[in-house]
Amino acid sequence: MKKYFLILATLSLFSACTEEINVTLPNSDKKIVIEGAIENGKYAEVIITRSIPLFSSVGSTSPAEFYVTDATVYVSNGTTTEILTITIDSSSALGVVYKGNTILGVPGQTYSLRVVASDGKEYNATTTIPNPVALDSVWWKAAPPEDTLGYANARLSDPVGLGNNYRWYSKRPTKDRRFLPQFGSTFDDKLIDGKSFEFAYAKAYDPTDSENSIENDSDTERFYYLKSDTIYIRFVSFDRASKDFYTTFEAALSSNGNPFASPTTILGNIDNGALGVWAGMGASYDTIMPTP
Amino acid sequence: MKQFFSLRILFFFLFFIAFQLYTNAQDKQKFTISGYVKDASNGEYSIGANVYIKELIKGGNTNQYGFFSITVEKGTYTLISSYVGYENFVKQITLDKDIHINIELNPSAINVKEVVVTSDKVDKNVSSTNVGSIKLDMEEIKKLPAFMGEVDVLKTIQLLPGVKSSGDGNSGFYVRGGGPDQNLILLDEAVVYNASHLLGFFSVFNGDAVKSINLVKGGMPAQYGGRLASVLDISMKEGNNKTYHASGGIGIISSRLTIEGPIKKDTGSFIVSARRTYLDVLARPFAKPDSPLKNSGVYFYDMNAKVNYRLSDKDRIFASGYFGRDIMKFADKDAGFKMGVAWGNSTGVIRWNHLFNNKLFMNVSGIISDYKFTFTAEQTGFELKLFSGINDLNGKVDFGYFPTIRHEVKFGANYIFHTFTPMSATAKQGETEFDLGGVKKLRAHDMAAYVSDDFDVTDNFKIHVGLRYSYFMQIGPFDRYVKDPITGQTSSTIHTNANKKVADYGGFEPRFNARYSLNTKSSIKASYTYNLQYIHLASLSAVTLPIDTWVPSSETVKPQKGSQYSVGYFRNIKDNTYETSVEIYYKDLQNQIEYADGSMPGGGIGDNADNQFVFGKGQAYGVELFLKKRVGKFNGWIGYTLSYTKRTFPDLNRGQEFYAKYDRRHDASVVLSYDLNKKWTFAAIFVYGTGNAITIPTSYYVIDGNITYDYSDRNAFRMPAYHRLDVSATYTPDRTKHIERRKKRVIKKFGLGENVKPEDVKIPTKLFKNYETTWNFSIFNVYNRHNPYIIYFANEGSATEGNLKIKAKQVYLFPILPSVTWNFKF
Repeated sequence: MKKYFLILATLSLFSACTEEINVTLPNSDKKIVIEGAIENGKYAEVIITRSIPLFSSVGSTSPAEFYVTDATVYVSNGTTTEILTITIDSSSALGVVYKGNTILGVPGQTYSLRVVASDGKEYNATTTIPNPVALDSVWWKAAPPEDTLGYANARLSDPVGLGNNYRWYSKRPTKDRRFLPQFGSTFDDKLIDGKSFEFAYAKAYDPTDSENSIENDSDTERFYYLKSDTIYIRFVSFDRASKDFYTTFEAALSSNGNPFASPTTILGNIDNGALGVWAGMGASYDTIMPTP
Repeated sequence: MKQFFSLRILFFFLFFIAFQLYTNAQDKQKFTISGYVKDASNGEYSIGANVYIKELIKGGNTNQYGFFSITVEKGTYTLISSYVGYENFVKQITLDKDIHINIELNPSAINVKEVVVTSDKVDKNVSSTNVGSIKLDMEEIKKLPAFMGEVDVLKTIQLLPGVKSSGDGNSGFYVRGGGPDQNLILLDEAVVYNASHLLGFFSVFNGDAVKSINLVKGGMPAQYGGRLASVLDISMKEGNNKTYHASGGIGIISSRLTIEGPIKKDTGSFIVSARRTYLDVLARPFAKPDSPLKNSGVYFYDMNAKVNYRLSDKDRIFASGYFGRDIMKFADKDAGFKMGVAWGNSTGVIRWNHLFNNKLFMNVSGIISDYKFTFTAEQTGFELKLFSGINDLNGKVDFGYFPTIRHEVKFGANYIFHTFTPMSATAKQGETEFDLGGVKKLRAHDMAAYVSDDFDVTDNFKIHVGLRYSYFMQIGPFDRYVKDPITGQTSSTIHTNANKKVADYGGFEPRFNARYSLNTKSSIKASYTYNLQYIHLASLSAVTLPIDTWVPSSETVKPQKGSQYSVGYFRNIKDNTYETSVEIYYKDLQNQIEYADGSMPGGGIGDNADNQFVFGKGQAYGVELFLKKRVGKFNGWIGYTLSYTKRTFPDLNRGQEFYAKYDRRHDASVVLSYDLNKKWTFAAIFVYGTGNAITIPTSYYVIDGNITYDYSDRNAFRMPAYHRLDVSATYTPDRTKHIERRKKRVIKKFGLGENVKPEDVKIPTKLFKNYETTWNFSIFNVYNRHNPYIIYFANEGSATEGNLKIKAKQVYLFPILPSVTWNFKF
């Protein structure tokens, strides 16, 4: 956030001197991308795709090249191992998901993931689900001078002891297909350890929903929740490796298109050159009811 | 143990020299000629002027204060002093006792570009032991095309082989594969931490206040230390101590004014210079019509001041100072957003020259040097302030001892107290203050002592042998945040009390340069230098920004170490009309610093800045070719460097070797200047450089429904090559003709044509007798090459809709830029 302002300002100064150029890229192999999570009380869910060379468009890449549907995915809790099955799930970020049906997430438990691709390569990772930390309270608050538009607020009391990492997801049951994170939704307790403090988030947007994108939203309502909205909050606690992934991922997203950005290395926790993360999530749910 | 080996050789040389000096003292009767060399027209002391005895073809150069001392046997000699741009001074002397003589050199009446036939010693580049060091006078620099009307010291040194510009918009420069923090930049002995205005558009050195610059890129003499790659030693003018003058210029982008004059004729003088750019003139060419730039602007201003006074034949005092600020203001009223950035250096130096006797010269200096950066941003109730800086309190003493004509011994000591303010922040939302760790300053003692000798071993073989010992200690109060390996958070804090040691380092730095003359026209030079650097500037982004902070060595950060070897062949052709040289160098760098993968700006706030660093080593090597035509109407130079600079860090690029960001395979400069006649001078510069090495995305993938990039190996991609042509024309109107015309007009106006002739009309004031003006027209980037400043990638469309396109874009800063400056002097 801190460098954001400086970058924004300097960008504007140079906005007239930008042009498109042709670049010859070195060839790169298509890496496997594994986005996996296991939540307390739920089965494991893993999305597997491949990376695409920069200048080819998804339209020209067939779904077969993008989605990986022929991998074998194992999840183990140390005692039992199960093989995940491929399903279509409209409430996940990308429709095609490998899902478990035996092992449920339990706080305090460690889970290992093993993906065997069709070419024989293996990718491994482990994660732990921490005890979920519940928010003290959530509420909608108007953003002055508006009185029907506002943000989702929450109060959190961070348990004493460093090492708590959080991520904020929100979903409007009638308008959002799934729980949505946003930029800045991942944070740790380095500065707030043991403290009780309030924070707020603006409306989240779904990057896969082009109809309801930021640009298509009305000028008055952009980034605001309506007074009449019902908002589900999913407040997740996870371990350090997961937090490192999501903070570096969010930083990479925010530097997208920024000419001053230095390449952000996204720190994943899966071995053998796989991109992505295997995150154990301790989730706690709340609801903000419409304000009368 | 390479270092011990070179130390042993060095100690051998030092003993040999000491023995020589001792036996010399017992020799036949010797007397000393000593004194100062200065410019007869304005009293400025000449730095590096030649003073020699014709019959012996031996002598020396004046030091930084214009002092020389030559000790030879009793006899009758011809003493000659020469300096580029001046007529030779020749005098017969009978040396039967010690002589003190102050030499005044007359500026050349003839255009210095014409061939000046002298006996010798214009072959300085061949005869000095300065391997890898270049001295430039402002007069030479002023002939080059000025960027936006400003003659620029840093832009000029980047035209020399081995010195690379960091590209448009980047401050700093790179010397022989070293980073921008490895250059020691001194203004009258004060360290300048950020020598650029406006991200590198201009340097902080006002050409009207500078006398000369000395760039050392290899073979660093022992009196300098603390940086691995180079020394840029800039001396300010002292001010005309005979008459008052004002000079300056008004240009499209900036204006400047200098006033100088005597405090007491021939005894003391002062000089004051100031300069400023105009508020949003720079931004306007880049702004879209309806952009928020109405309320924004970038500008800088700076001031230089110096006074000096000769208390007696043996004592002189000087005081000089610099103050400069860059300001960037931006406001977007619609978004409720406002920001301001300010940064700059301030320096203050007081010096005392003392002559103990005609062989022993001393200078004592007290110096303050300060660099500050502040950034404030406000957005509807949220206010953020970032600041960082470094402050030095410095005392040094330097002696020059001239025992015989074959030796010049230098020794001295230097002490600096550093106070670092690493990037700190304060933030508040409305009335709530965020706890961002407060401001934690770091402090350190940094000291060194050195001894060196410039020794003419034989008539053909001259060496500079030096030994420097440096010591650095970071002191408390200091908190080290120890990280828990599991959570990555601070698990404990180790506190060091005030003035107690946090960490210390020290070591010997041997230096050795040699010159062997094959004949009067050519020589071979070689050098070995070992350097330690205790303070560091790690840069997070691909471009250098004023937010990059200086940090001291600590328990985790070891001093950077560099060994450099170089060998060169120097030859003058056609009676010193052409200077040519070939130099090759090899550098070994240890304890280099980079940010760890995944480091984010602001990550160091509330933490130790160096917890984000990773360490590795590097190598740099290359060959530099140089051809210079010194005299004639048409002159200039061509420089070409082929070089490599690589790094190996276990924690970066999976431990594989990668090219440093500023690795520049080919770097070429062509500088031409043509004096058409007394009125017109034309100049052109062409530069070419291989593009910077950067890391770019090679593929993209999807997480959380978002597109994100996967990157190539570190610095595996090259930006397009940088090349540019600048031209300029300088017009000096003929004042005498202008005066003639005015006189005729006066006569005509008063109808005196019958009785009065133009010669009878007198010019009223003394002040306007010396009035000169010049017009400078220049075009920067004549063929409008869009040299990339930054390359980035942006998405258009969406993956789910199947119309995603990723485009490569570049930001370039300078299209073709013409400018006009009117310069005056009286």
